[in-house]
Amino acid sequence: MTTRRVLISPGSSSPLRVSAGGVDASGAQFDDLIFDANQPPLRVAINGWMRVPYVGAGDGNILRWATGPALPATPAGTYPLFLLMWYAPTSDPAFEGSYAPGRSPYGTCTCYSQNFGAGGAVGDGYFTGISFNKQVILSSGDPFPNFTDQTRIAYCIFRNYQ
Amino acid sequence: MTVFAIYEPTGQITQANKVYDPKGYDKLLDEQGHAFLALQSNTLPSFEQWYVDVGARELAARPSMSVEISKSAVKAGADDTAVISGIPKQAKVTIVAAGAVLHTLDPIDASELEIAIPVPCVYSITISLWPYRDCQLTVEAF
Repeated sequence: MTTRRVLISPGSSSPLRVSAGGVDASGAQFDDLIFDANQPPLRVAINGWMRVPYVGAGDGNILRWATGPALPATPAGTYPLFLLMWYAPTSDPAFEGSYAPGRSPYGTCTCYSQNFGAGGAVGDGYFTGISFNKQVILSSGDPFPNFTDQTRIAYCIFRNYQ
Repeated sequence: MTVFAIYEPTGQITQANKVYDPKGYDKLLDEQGHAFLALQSNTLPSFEQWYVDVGARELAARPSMSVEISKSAVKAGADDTAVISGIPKQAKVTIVAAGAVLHTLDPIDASELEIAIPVPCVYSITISLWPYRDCQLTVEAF
């Protein structure tokens, strides 16, 4: 039986369908389609960054969080997709590599035998930053501020242009 | 390309968006109560380097401090000091060593700061005052 992976049929419901290998395009389910003219691909509508509020170390708790800021304004029917965390270089050169731009929010510190990291969640119109730093290191300071006022997160907003 | 910089009353940029289809986006920001500046640019302004001059309603470069330090290495535990001069009034000074904040002067009430270090280590000193860019210096004690 012939498998037609590319189907051009102007008179049908979808003028162009391209299927995955071994699947006939005419009856292929959505997951088996590489392209369907009735399902236009998402395109980038907005990309940007926003700052997140300070979240300190965990003070013995497993995590700590701070709600805000509000999510970026997006056109109706779209939603921000958060890509990664961005850290400005720390003021302490000894840990600069852990905070280099574009790295994931995770690091280690052998001198204190612990790992630290950060993440976030989106809900109720706000971004909530979460710190996974388990302990305050030395009572006088917070050397691993997972979210400082120098921290920003990058995002991208896609839109399905019909 | 249209870039929208959203800022606080101080002019600090809190959000920057490159909008590929900007029609109506200014209205959306107005409806949500954001103060913003629309720019024609292909790059997103970083908050480390730029701020919004609220009076002029334009993007401005954050100025650098004219801070100088007399030396970057001192002898630990001795009568040897490094002097930082030219610190702007009302600036905040933070001194970090070995991953811990040792001193915070907020604000510092002088334009000079003399630093002596009792044990061998590296002091990392950050001077900050809006809208200046943060100034970072190190002094090593040996």
